[in-house]
Amino acid sequence: MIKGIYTAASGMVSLQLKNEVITNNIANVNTTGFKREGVFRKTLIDKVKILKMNSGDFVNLDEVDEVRIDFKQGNLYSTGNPLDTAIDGKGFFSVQTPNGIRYTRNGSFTIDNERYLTTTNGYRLLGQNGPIQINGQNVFIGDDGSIIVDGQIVENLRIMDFPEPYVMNKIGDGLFEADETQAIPARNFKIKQGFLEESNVNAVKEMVDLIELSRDYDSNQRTITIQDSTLDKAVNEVGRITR
Amino acid sequence: MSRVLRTAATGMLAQQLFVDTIANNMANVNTNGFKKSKVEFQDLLYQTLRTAGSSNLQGTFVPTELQVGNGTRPAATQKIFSQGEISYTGNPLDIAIDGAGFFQINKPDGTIAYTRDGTFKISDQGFLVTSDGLELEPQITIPDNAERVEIGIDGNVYAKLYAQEELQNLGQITLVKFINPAGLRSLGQNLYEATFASGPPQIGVPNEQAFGRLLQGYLESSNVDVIEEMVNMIIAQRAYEINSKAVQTADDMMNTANNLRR
Repeated sequence: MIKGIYTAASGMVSLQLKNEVITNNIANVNTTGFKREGVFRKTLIDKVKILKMNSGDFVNLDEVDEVRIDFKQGNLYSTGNPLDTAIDGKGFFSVQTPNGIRYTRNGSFTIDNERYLTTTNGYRLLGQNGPIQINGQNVFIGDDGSIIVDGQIVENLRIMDFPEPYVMNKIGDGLFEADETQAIPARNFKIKQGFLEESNVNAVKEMVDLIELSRDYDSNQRTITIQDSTLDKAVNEVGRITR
Repeated sequence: MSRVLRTAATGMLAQQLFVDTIANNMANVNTNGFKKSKVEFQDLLYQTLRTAGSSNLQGTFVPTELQVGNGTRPAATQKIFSQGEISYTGNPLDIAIDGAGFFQINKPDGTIAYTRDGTFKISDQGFLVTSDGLELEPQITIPDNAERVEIGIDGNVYAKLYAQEELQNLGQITLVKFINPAGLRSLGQNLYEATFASGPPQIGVPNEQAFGRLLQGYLESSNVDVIEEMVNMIIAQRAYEINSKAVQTADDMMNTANNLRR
């Protein structure tokens, strides 16, 4: 009986986390190169295993198993800016940060005062041979990631991929952190100059998830109140001696 | 729980800034030489609830972290320096730049500002000035007995003086360009200022390299595309709405939790 209350309460706790994740997706519906996250809860079999393992009446409250990043391709849209680049296909831009190499799908680049290509945060974009300096006027970025300045190929973009499933963490500012030793040169991608990748958040899907979640939360709450009233009856009415 | 409210609030604030930028672009749809802006968003820091490599109840190690994000923030407002449409006005002192260059304008404080707006006038002292009366650099003086002013695509300014056969050269208009024009700071009055990010100005003559040629009697219109801005406005408004729905859902859930105990 009491176990049921805990189970419903654990449902409410994990739904709160799910709500936080969905809200973060929604907040980033217009963030360039953003990848949405999905919450995965433990399957029933897993739960039974946990219950069996912890013999006795302990119920695991931490139901959320994983917040997984959905790396599905976002739509590409044209901006007309020569330094906006998008990856059509798999792979990530490599970016030099003070803490080491980080990866991003946000190809909105600019040039710093020393003529290096950087992200809007000022982190330098990496080519095969380190940061990319642009000495010239006309920058053309080819399909294969080659950077052509005034007709000369000066560098190739360092587009890396990782074995699937991706084991990457988000660190904010559109950057991903990954195990550097796992990085392999990406294949089957096309670089599109003058394009950016939209957030892959689908507003309709997030809205439906939000409604579903809200109703789930309600029913868990109802379960608790019903069990509470049943307990109330058991405690206060079953034992009552009527005259 | 209150994290949800804060996250959704960052989303609403970001969309507000998006609409602000669109509104400014739309307001300047007929401003000569105006360049549209675009807002760039980034996700905020993530909070790690469970680190990778910790063991779970089944005794295996979790490969990824359990992370929750905190919303979004505007990262940059970027000017897009695509060429605006060049339209014919017939006014001899209207000059359009067909290329990447900027005119240099002397500000009253002695510093130089840059503009793409080529609607020049003649001041009471005969100097070429902007509509606000700021002098063009290098200074060009139009003599008061000039009948006609000719400006070549290379920036050379000639005047046909009264009772003279030959054209007189009054000087050459020079242009500047920047390695990263998106890094220029807008000052209003169609003027820009060089910054650390834009790089120093490189001075050159028109019709050489990528400075662009000068077209007399033409003006460059705003590069704002009304349809694109309208579409962006719809996107921003819907994104604002859905963020407000997230606030509402969080509020409903808190209400539900509060009703646990009757």
